[in-house]
Amino acid sequence: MIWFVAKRLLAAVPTLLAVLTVVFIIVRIVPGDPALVILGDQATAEAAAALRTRLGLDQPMWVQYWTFVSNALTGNFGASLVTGRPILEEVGAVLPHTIDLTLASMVLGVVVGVPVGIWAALHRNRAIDVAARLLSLLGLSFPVFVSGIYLLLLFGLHWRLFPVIGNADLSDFGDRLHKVVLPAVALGLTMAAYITRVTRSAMLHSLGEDYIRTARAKGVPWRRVVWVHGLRNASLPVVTVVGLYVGILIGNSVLTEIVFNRPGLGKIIVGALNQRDYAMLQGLMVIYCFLIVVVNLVTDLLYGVMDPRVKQA
Amino acid sequence: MMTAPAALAVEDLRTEFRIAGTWRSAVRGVSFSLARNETLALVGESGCGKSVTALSIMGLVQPPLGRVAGGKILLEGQEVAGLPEKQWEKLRGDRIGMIFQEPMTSLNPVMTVGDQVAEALVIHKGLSRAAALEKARALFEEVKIPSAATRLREYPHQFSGGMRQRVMIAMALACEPAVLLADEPTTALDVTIQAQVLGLLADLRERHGMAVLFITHNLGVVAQIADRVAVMYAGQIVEEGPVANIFAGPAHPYTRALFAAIPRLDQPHQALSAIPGRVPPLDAMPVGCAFASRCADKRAGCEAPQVLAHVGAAHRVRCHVATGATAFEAAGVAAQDTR
Repeated sequence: MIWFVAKRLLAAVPTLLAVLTVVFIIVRIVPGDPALVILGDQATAEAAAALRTRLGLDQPMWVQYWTFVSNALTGNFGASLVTGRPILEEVGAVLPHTIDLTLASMVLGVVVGVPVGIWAALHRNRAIDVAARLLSLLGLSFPVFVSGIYLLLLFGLHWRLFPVIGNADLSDFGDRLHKVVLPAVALGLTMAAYITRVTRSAMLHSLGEDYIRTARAKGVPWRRVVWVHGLRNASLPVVTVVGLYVGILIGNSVLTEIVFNRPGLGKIIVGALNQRDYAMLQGLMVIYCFLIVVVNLVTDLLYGVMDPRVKQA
Repeated sequence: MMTAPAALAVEDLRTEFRIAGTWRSAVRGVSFSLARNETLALVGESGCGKSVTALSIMGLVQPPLGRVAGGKILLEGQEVAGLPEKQWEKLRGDRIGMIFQEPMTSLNPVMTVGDQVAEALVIHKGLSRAAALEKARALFEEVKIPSAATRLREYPHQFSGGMRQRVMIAMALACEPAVLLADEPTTALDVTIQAQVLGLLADLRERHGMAVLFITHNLGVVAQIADRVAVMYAGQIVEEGPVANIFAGPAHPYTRALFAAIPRLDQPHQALSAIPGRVPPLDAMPVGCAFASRCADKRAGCEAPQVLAHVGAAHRVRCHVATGATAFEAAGVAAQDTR
């Protein structure tokens, strides 16, 4: 097990280096002089040259690359060009909000999606299954900005159960929970719909396997056949999808954050785009990729825990 | 055989599957009985209903896909056909065990083999997990899995095909069932491993006094392991009798064709012999003999329903040509029977 973890951790290193390299290249092949973009067309040549020196853009390419990579690896992404605060600090201020939202949506998606998927699989082609499939199709087709607005209208304005503005006080757990409910429902329902479908098909697949027949032949009660033999095997594809989807959730949280007016990573990346804060964008890209790599790493490790065959490979 | 009930008796078993909305019989009135410490080989080509017969006996043919539509299944004298699922669960793995053909896929890949063997003991015998694992270790030793104690904690992918089949056997034997159904347990194995597993099964039958229903399409295996043989064709038993009689004088044209299809090592350059034609599909089963369309001896009377009739004391055949043949021929087979 220790070997397996070590190997996976080592495998993440080249991925991270590749990410850093790609971000470095993208930023540099974008047309236009960054200094002029930042200072505007009216800037004097001296000012532009001074800024280039400050940003290290007058250094040879490989020096810039080395500085960028070593800074990134030590958590130094530079400072925002707009606020002047370190990027890590800017991100750190909103990251808990994004994590709250992502985790809450994920939990909701799994807690709703997995049982409904199993239920549908066990009643294949009967009314329950058809209903579950229809609802999940509906859930998948509803964009967050539509479902979010309906949720706000109903639970925020009509019944006034939840706040319409979601800037939570991070030190107050109850407040965080209260304010994350509506956005998490909006974001989590899509995920639940997706997980329902994956669980259903994984469960149908696993229940058709020979080892299910073996389990029944030794007299294992049906309930245990489903929950122990069936689900443990079906959970592998479900974990994969949850892992992938959490990555998507982090990336797609921007719509939810705008609809519910929550702070978060999505919000600051849009802000950085609008303000041409290219240092911020570069840092955010790297941080996003780091997060995705971490999520994938956790998924991989979970795989090793759940499937004994993976550990050997 | 004394008056004690047979370990397993099947009477007029009829199993149906739903094909395009109509129920069609895959097993059409199969009857046999099996005493303790006896091995009956059920022989026939793929799709003749051997496995479906076994699954019906296990209560594993269930709606909406299939159903046991008629007949009796007596397990140690108790009628089990039509029992509710809850009671089936108590019998399966306890009084009746089953080994499957494909050891590679029949074990749960994410559970240790020890836990898979112990599971039946926890469920049926109420043992604690630790006690059940201890019993599983003893079972592993009995089926000759080396270093049983460590291998108990391993997963199926760490086992070879032969070893997996031993795990399957240990699992089926865990609660010492009265009846063991072995559905082509050696088909997927190498020939050398096959011999070992057959030897092991014969050994275990002897030791536990089990009744074994051995399903195979391999006549060589039949000669090695069985006391009696039942040959199935298109959902019916077409010939049944002691191994020696059937090997010495196969009476049904289908059985004879099966024997003729075995390639001989002592005759070089022979073409592989095959039975012409094909098994009638379930939705076009003839009223009369199902083999008639492929039979070299076909004559008037074959289109009428055939009955299993004696050609010897314990030797029965479902063919009017074989059974209604001259008294001289029938007597000849009978004389063989008594030897």
